[in-house]
Formats: sequence, C-alpha cells, structure tokens
Amino acid sequence: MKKNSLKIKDKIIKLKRKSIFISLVLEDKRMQIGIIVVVFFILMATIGPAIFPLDLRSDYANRYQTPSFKHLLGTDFAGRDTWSMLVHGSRDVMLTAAFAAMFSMLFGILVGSIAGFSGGWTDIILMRIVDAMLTIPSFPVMMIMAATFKVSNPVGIGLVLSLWTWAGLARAIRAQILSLKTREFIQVARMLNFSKFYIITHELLPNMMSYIIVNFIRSMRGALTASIGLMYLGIIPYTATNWGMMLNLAVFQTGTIYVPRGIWYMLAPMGAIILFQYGTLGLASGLEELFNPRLRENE
Amino acid sequence: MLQKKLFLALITVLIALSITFALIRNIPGDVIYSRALTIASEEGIPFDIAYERALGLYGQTLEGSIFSQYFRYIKNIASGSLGESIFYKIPVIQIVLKALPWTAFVVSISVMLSFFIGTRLGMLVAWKRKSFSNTFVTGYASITDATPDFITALILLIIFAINLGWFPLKGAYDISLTPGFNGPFVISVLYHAVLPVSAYTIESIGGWALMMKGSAVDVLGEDYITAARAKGLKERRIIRKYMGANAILPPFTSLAIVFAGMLGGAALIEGTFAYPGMGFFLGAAIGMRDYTLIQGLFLFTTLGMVMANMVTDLMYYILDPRVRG
Amino acid sequence: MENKKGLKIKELTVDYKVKEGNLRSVCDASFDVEEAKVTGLIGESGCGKTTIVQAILDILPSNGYIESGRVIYKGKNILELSPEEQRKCRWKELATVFQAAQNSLNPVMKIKDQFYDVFEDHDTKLSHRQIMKKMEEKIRLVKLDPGRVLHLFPHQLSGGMKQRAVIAMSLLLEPEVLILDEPTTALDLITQSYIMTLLKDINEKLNITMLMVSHDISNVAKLADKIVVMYAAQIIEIGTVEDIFYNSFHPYTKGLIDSTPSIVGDPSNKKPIAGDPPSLINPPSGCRFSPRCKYAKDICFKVFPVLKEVENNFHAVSCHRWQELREFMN
Repeated sequence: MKKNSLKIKDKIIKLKRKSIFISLVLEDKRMQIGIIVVVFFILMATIGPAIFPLDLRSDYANRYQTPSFKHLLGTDFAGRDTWSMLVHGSRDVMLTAAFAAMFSMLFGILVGSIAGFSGGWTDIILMRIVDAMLTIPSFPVMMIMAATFKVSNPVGIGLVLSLWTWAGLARAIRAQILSLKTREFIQVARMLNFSKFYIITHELLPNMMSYIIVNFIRSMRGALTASIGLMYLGIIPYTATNWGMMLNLAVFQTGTIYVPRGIWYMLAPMGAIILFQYGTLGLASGLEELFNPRLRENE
Repeated sequence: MLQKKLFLALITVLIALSITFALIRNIPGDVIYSRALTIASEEGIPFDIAYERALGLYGQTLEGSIFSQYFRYIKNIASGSLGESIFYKIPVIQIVLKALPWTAFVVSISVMLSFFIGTRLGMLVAWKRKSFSNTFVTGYASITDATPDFITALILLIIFAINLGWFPLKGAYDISLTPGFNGPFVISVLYHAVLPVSAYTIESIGGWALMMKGSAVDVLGEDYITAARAKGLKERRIIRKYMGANAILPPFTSLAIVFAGMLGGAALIEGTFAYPGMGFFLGAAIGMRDYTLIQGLFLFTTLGMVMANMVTDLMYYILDPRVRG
Repeated sequence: MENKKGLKIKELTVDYKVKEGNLRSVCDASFDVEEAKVTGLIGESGCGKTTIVQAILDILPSNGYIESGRVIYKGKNILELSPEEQRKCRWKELATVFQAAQNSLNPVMKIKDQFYDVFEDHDTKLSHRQIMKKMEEKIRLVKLDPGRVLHLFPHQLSGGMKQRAVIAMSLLLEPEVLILDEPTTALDLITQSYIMTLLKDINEKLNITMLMVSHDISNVAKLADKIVVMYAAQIIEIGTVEDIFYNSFHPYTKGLIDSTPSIVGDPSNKKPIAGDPPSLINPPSGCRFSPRCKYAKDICFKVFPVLKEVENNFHAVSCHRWQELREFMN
C-alpha cells in the first residue's frame, strides 16, 4: 500500500518536473541557448562529417585565407579548410569528453558505494584517499598520466582523464548511502538480503539521478577543457582536426599566432570551445534549477 | 583538529609520491633503451653497463623487491635528495627552487587580486538588486567560466603582446638585466607578470563575484541587516562591516580550491607565456620524459597545495569568531 | 493633547507586491502613541503589526510600499523626510528592539564595536571616553556587567543577555521613542517577566515613549497604559487595559480576552474564536472580521468600519454595531 502511494507521488513529481521543464525552456534564456548549442554540436559531430568532406591535402598557395563562401572559416597554415576540420574534429572531441565523464561516473559510484556500504576501516581509508585526491591539483596528474600511458583514441584518453576526477562524485554517493542507511534502515536491512546491487539501482540511483545528470555534464565540460589543454601542450599527439591539436599547431609549431590573417584559424577552435562550454553551462544551470527549485532567485 | 589535518596532509603527500613512483615504474622500455644507447656511445662504455646507468638515472634499479625500492625512494626524498634532472643534468632541487618563486608570485597575486575585486563586485551587485551591473556581472561570469584559462591567456597574448606590442611575449624578466632588488629589475618583473596575472584574474573574477553575490544575498535576509538599517547606520558601513564581513566567510573557504585550480592550470598559462615557473618546467619535463624532474616538480606542487589549505584554514579561524568558541 | 514627542499614526496603508497580486498588510490604521507612556499593539500573527513598525521606520522590505498615510513626530511627517534625514532620525529619536533579538546583533563584531558604530554614524560630537561611559551606563541600566559583556561576541551571550544587550543598544543615543517588537518572545517565562520589569523601570526612569508590539496580550497588559488591538490589517479597538479587558466593545477583542487562559479560573470556560483570519490578498469587503463574527449583519459585510471614539477616555472601536452590542458584551 505504501508502495502505491509512493508511486503516485513519484508520478506527480515527474509530471511537475516536466511542466517546470517546459516552462523553463520557454522562459529561461540561458537554458534555451544551452539546448540550441548542444543540439548544434551533436549534429555537427554526427552528421557534420558526412556533409562537409575533409580534405587534408596541402595547398600552400591558399593558406591563411579569411572566411569566404568557399571556406566558411578560412584556411589554415597549409591551405586546408578550417571549417571542415573543425567539424570532423568535433566528433572525437565530444566522444573523449563523454567517455571521460562516463568512466568518472562509474568509478565514482563504485567507490562511493563501497565506502558507504562497508563502513569501518574501508570507508575511512577510501575517504582519506578521496580527500587527498581532491587536494592534489588534477591537471598536473593528468599530464603525467597522459605522458605515461600512451593513449591516442577517445576511449583511452577518456579513461586516463577519468582516473582523477571521480573523487567528488564518490563523496556524494557515499553521503547519500549513509543518509539512506539511517533513514530507511529497516527496509534496507531487509533488502540487504537481496543484494547491494539492487539497493543501488533501485533506491540510490533514482534519488540521485538529478545530481548525477548535472554532475555528468559538469564532468564533460571539465574533461573537454582538460583534453584540449593536454593536446595544446603537446602531451597527447592527435590528428590535426582535433580542436586542441589545432591550437597546438597554431601556437607552438607553425607560428600561425604571429600571422595577422591566421587569426581565423585560431578563432575557430577557440570559438567552438567557448560556445560549447557556454551552452553546456546554460544547460547544466537550467537543469540544476529544474531539480532544485530552491535555487531559483526570488524576484 | 590540527592532528587530523596534519595526518591528511601527510597522506596527501604520500599519495603524490606514490603516483610518481608508480609512474616511473611504468616508463616505456624504449625510453631507457635509447638513453642507454646515448650513454654508451657518448662515454664509450659497453651497453649493459650503460643500461644499468640509464636505469639508475630513471630511478629504477633492478635490485631488491618493489617494496625496498619504494622505501629507498621515500628515504631519498625525505633526506632532501630529489635526484638529478635527466635533461638539464643538474640537481632537480635547484631547478624547482628557481621556478617555484615565479609560480608562487604570479598565482598568489592573481588569487588575491581576483578575490578582492570579485568579492567587492559581488557585494555591490547583491546590495543593488536589479540593475545593469547585475546582468553585466552574471554575463561576464558565464563567459569567463566557459572560456578555459589558456584560451584567455592566448587571447591576451594575441591582442596585447603580438598585435599591440604593449607587453612582452615571454619570460619573467628582461634577461639583460641583473636580478636583485633594483628598480629596473623589479619593474621588468612586474611588467612581465602583467599578462599572466591578467589571464588568471580575468578568469576567476566572475566566479568570486557570483559566489559572493549568493552569499551576500543570503546575509541580506538576516535580521541584523534590518537592525543595522534601523539603527541609522551609514550605508557604506552596513555594506562593509555588516553584510560584507559576514558574507565573505563562505567564499573564503573556496580560496584553497581556487588556488588549486590556478596551480593546476599553471602549466597551460606559463606554457603560453613561456613564463619560467613550475608549470612551464613541468610541461617541458613531460615532453622530454625527464622523470626525475617531473617527480620533483609534482611533489612541490602538492606541497604548495597542502600549505595553501593550511593557510586558509588558519585565516578562517581568525576571521570567524564563532569558530574560536 | 500636545503629544509632540509621541507618534501619531494617521491613515497608514501599507501594501506588498507578491506573486499572487497585492497584499494589503495595513489598512487605514490610525492611532496615537502618547509621549512618556507605554502603548501596546496587540494582534495575532500576520495581522500587520510588524509591518506598522517597519513602516514607521521606513525599513520595509523591497516589495513593500507605503500606499498612503502619515506618521507625525514632533510636528513633522517623518515619512516625507529625505533618506538622509530619516537615517539621522533613526535611533537618535526613534529606536527599535526587534523581534528575535537573538539575530539583531552582527555575529562577527564584538558588542562594544557594534555599540560604537551607532555613535560614530550619528555625529554625536562626543569624545571617545564619553562614548565609553555612555555605553557602560546603558549596559548597567539593563543589569549587565559592562566589564564582561562589552568585550564578548554575540554567540557568547545567553538569550536573555542578548535581549538585554539589544535593549541597552536601543537606548544608547537616548531616543525619545522606543519601539519594541515582540521583545520577549522565544525567552523562558522567568526571563520574560524579568525583562518586562526592566522595561517598566526604564519607562518610568527615563520617561521614554514606548510602543510595544506583541501577540501576547497578557504580557503586554502588565506594562501598557494603552492598548491598540489589530486584526487582519485593521485597527479594531483602542483603549486602556481596563477598557480592553473588562469593557471591550469589539466582538474580536471580547473573543480574544475570553480565549486567553489565566492562572485563576476554569480553563474549560475558555473558547477560541471560530474560523481563520482572512486572506489579505483578497480580503473580505467590509469589516475584515465579519466572516467570523457571530453578530455580523448586512452592513458589516459591505462597508469598512471606521474607528469611532466611544467614551471620553479615548476608548475607540471600529464596529458598525458597537452601540447595539453594548449589552451583549459585558
């Protein structure tokens, strides 16, 4: 009986959320921009490469062209079309970020659950490690790890990036488990006979879904910046279509940065990154407001 | 309380060391192999001796179990020996101590500057409720948050150094000058620091402003603010000592985190400006697979973070009388 | 009566802009706070009494605004003063002791520094030593030890001590009028009684005009010379303590007195007033009490009643049927 009334309450909350979502989409400008931007980039990554063919042959006569109808964003230091390179690179860029966020999420849930359920020394040790991980700046660690494990594809890079970023989520998951433990102790105890896996998937995750989704987006944004940063410094070599690689080539290898007309070649990846991050920020903020209405400012 | 923090700090440092230890074990074999070849040809010694030498250089000895290697490693570090830089062939500690001041200088100034300006902005915007400055600050914060720090650095470099030529392109000071506390040197240092500091600061101001605004808006709802107005206190006093002094406490706890972020991004910004700080050398060392140098720099970066944490805890203790009990 | 140093509130109307529309928190309120006397403002939660306090000092929250009315002090309408003049007037002439004084003190400043701020911003032309003397004097007045209290932070004081400190703070500039909003709520009964005695002491010694706002009628009655009863943004009765308790003319007042428990007497005689207070966004037309009033007639539902003096000793009531109901009431 209690289950039924809980189910109805759940349904009402979901309906409420949908209507709030729709009203947010209609009202909140940041959310609108966010959705548009994210859709734009998803399209770019999925169907873009099919529409805009990639031609990596050098054409020095046409290098550093300013934007025109033929070359939407001009050409690079070797005369290649910047726009198509950007489009083709977007796929790997976004895949890397997505994989990183996914692995990070998995590790976070795993470690957080173990810590939360085990308690005792396991918990203490794990949490001390988590604390230490949160203190040590992540980018230097990623630099060292990227140099040591030679990775060159989105999955590999994503994995390496995720190795140091799961700590925050782990802490949150553990906290939630602890509060769950005290709150519905008896139910949980009975369910412990089923399996911890059941508890995690049926009790914990639905409750934390909103937090996890927002966290996922935030992870993606961090991973994107990190992967591009690593390529920019030349720590991860990659094909010239990847945005980070474009910047690395421009600044450190070809001297594009000193050529006035070369600005377009540099602006392309910079603009893409800024736009993507801005859009996802809007989306994340909008979702946060959706799930946590207390954050809405009173007019 | 203090013991717990010290213990945590110790574990943090230990983990940092363990990471580098583990990574060094994983050095790809061909790196050592090629190094051995170089040594053998340079010094005309047989290859296996050269190979052992190369192993030693990279901190790897084949003798003893992995545990004894670990202990030896820790012992060396504790006694102050960080080994020798493979590329530069001078003790790592020398390089680290030369690079450390530059990073500390730039990052500290940036943190303080962005905190100071950002929180002032946040306070103002919270007090003045709906106004143009409000939308401006929120918009600015969104854009700077979306822009990774090295891109801000790049933009500054392109506009101000390359195209306008107002600021130098690289370095920490004009190398034709002699270092010391003399006028021209100090001015040159400051001059060279402008762009890096600006890059960090422009990035962070938005975040501080928003943080402070949120905190100040909460504080404004408190009774003692209404009471302060009822007491006929002057507006400036209320903003500073009543709203500001209370609102600054939550953002203050983020100081260490922001410091960490800047330290982490140091490699990128110093790389862009060729500024000889720890980040710059870390990037270079990684590129050259100079593992001993990497290890030393990383250790010091972590130490820096641990100290920053302790300092902020101490300062919070001073700022909030309620913590003192 | 001259009443120059007291407050005259005339036809004050205060609205709040809320999501659902316009909330009229105070509707056409008029009463006098007589100089050197204690006036009590009684009413249940949400009736508008705190809003009146905020309106007098002009510290309404950002979505509140004074629709109409005047507050006369020393011959001038203080609502029309410039912001700077109002600021100077605050605390020097009109001081306040707030509801939940627990939170009226800045948590990160020592008591003596907060007290000092008051002097500094009011251009008192006193020397540092004179200021310190005054601070100690007022702290002693509320029976606290200046040597200790002044150097402490608010969280180091107990609830009762904080309340007394806040009262001392209100007297620092020797104001003419002291407004107290629920000065003893959230304190235990013994401390409550102690503070009420203290306040009476202050009123008699310093001849300060006091306006005491509370929902606890029995508490205020110990101190007040005059009581103003408020209900749903409306002033419904004004009179002396005897008038209100034993000779009230308004059905609500009578109901209020009847429902207040006392140590003597049979609790089963106590009857609450049936019904709930009305919505202030869509108030009933006519008298606000009419939906709950057992004596309400047609006119009560249609026309908003006006305060009328009923006897010579300034007893006033706002009820259409007060004359007819005289017999029923007492």
